Amino acid sequence: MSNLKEEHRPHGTAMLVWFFFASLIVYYLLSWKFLTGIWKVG
Amino acid sequence: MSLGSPTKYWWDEPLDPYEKTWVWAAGVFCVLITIAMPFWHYTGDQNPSQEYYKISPEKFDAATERFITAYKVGEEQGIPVVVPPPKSDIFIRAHQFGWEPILKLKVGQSYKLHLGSMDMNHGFSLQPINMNFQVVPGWDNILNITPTTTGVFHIVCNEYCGLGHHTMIGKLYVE
Amino acid sequence: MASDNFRVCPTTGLKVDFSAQTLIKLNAFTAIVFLLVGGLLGLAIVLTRWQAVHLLTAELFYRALTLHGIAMLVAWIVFFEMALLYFTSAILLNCRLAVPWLGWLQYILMLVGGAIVTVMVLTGNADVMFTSYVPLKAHHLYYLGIVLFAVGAILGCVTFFATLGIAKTEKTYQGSVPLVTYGAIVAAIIAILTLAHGAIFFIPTWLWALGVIPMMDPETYRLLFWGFGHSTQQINVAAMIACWYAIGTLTVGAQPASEKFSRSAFALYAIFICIASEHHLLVDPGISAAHKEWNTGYFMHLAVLASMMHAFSVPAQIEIALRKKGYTKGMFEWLKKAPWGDPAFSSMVFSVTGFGFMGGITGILYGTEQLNIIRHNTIAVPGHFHATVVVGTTMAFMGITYYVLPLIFQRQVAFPTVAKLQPYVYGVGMWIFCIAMMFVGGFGVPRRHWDITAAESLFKGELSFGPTVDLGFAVVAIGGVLAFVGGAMFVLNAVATVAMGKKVNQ
Repeated sequence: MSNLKEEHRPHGTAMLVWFFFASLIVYYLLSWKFLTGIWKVG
Repeated sequence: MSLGSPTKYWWDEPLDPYEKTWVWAAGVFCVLITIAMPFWHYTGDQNPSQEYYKISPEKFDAATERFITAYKVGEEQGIPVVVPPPKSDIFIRAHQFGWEPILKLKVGQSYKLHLGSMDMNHGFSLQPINMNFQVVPGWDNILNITPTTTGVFHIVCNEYCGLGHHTMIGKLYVE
Repeated sequence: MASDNFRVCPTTGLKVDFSAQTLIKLNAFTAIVFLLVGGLLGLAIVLTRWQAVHLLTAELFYRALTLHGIAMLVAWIVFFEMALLYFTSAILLNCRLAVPWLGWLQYILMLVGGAIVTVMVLTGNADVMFTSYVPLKAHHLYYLGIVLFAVGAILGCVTFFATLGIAKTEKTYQGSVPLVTYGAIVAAIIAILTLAHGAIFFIPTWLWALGVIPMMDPETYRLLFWGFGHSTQQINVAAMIACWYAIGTLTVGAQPASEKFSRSAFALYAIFICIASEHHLLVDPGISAAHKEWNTGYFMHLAVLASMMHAFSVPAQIEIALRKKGYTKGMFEWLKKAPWGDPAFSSMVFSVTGFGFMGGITGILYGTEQLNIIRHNTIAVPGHFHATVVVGTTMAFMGITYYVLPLIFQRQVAFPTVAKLQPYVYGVGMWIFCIAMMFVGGFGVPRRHWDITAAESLFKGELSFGPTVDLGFAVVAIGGVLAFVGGAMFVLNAVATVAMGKKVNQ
C-alpha cells in the first residue's frame, strides 16, 4: 500500500481512527473516575 | 481483492505510514491498560477479593449463625439485625431467595466481609453505591471493605438463581 | 471431477459445488428461522423489562430469556457460520466440498440438538439461562442437545479443513488463500478449541444431570463454561471481520490495504484470543488476582490490538477503493459518495462502528479487573454484548446475506426498497438499545431480572433505581422495538426472496 498515490492514501480513515482512539481514552479514564466513587474494598 | 488469492509476494509489501503510526499507538495503549490492573492492585483502594477459601455451605451457615448470635440487636421483617464491632469478621449468607443478616456498619471503619451461598450462584449487588461481587456455593468470598458513605443500602441479587430471583433483596445500614 | 457436480457462477466465474451450495442454503435458512424465533422472544423480553408494560410473567420471562440467548447466540450465529465455512472453503477456493455426508451430518446433528434444547426450554425443563450455572439443573436432555449441537459444529469445521486440504492438493487456487478464507480459518481454529472446551464440562454436566456422577465444583464450572462461552464469541469476531472484508470487496471492489497487516491481525486472534475468559470471573472467589490480570489481559491485550488493526484496515480499504474511483476531494468525499443504498454496505458500516465504538470500548472497560466491580452482572453487560454480537456480528451476517441470496440462492432480493431501509431501521434501533442499556447499567440495574422495583420482596417499596432508570428503560424498549421491526424486515425479505424471488439468469 506504500506505493499508493498521495490522493489515494486513506487520509479520512486515519482521522476517524484517531477520533475512535480519543473516545476510547476518554471513556477509559472516566471509568476509573467512577470506580473511585465506591467504598474502599480489596 | 479479499475474496481472491493475493499477489505472490504480499508479505514483502511495506506498510503505509498511517498504518505504522496506528499500530504503534494501539500497541502502546494495550500495554498501558494491561499494566493498569497490577498498578491499581498495589496502589488503588478498589480491588476485587484477594482472599477466598473453599468451605461447605453447612460450615458457612454455622459460622453465620455464630456471628448472628454474637452481635444480634433486633429483627426487621423477621431478619436478624446485627451490629458487629469494627475490624471484625462479618458474614452475609445468600440463599434462595434472601440475604441474612441485616448489617449495621460504621462509616470509615474496615470490616472483613465473608460472602457465601447455601445453594445456587448469587450476585451480591450493593445499591445504590453499585458494587458487585459473585457469591458461589462452596466458596467463601472475602472482601476487606470500608464503607465511605452513610445511609440505607439494599443488596440485590444480580445472578439468576431460580424463578424467585427477583424477590431476593437484602438490606444494610451504614451510620 | 464430473461437470454435473457444479455450476459456474455467471457473476464471479467461480465453480459452485452443488453439495456445498445445498448445505449453505440449508444452514443459512435455518439460521434465519432461529433469528425469527429469537427476535420474537427478544421483543417480549424488552417489553417485560420496561416495567411500564411488564408483558410476561416472571416464569415466562426467565424461560424466554433462556431461549432468546440460545436461539440467537448459539443457533442463529453458528448455523450461519457453518454456511460461511462452506462458502469460504468450497466456493471461494473453486473446489469441491470434501466428504459431503459429513456436512450433512453436521447439519442434522445441529438441527436435532437445537430442536431438543428448544423443546426442553419451552416445556419448562430448563429454566437455567444460557449459562446454566450449576447447581441450577436442567433436564438431562437439555445438556445432550447442546452436546449434539457442538459435535455437529465440530464436524462442520472438520469438513471445512478437509475441503481446504483438497483445494491445496488439487491446486484449485494459486498462492495463498484469499483473506476472507484466512479469516474463516482463524474462526474455525478458535471454534475447534472452544468447542472441545465445551465438551470438557458439558459432558460431565450431562452425566451429573443423569445422576451418574457427582456435581462439579460451581466455580470450576464457571471457569470452564467461560473458557467455552467467551471464546466462542471470538469465533463470531473472526467470522464477522471476514465478512467485513468480503463486503468491502463485493460492494466497492476494495482490496485489502495491506495483506500483511490484516493477516497479522487475524493471526493475533488465533494465538491470543483463546487465552481470555476470566472477564466473567473478575469478582469471583477461587482465582488469584495475578491469574485474572494475566488472563483478561490477553497477555498484553494483543487480541485488542488485533481488533484495533482491523478497525484501521477495514475502512482504509474502502476509502482507497473509493478514492481510486475518483472521489479524492478533501478528507471525506469518498464517504459521501459511498454506496449508502446498498444494504450490505450500510449494514457493514453499522457493524464496524457499533462493534468498535460501543462493543469494543465497553469490552475493554468492563473487562478490566477493578472496573468490573461497578459493572459485573449489571444490565450494562448485555448492553456490551448486544453491541458486539448483534450490531457487530448479526449485522455483518445480514449484510452478507444480501449477496448470498443472488449468488447462492440465485434469487433477486424480493423487496429491494425494504432491503435498502432495513439496515438503517435495525442499526439505529440497536444503537439506541445498546447505548441505553449501558447507560442504565451504570446505575447498577441488574441483568436477568424480572422486577427491579422489588415489589414481591420483603423490602417492598424501599428499593428504587430512580426516574432516570425508568426513562432509560423506555428508551431501551423503543430501541428494541425498532430493532425488532428492522429484524422482521430482514427475515421476511429473506424468506420471501427464497420462496418467490425472481430467479437470477443462469
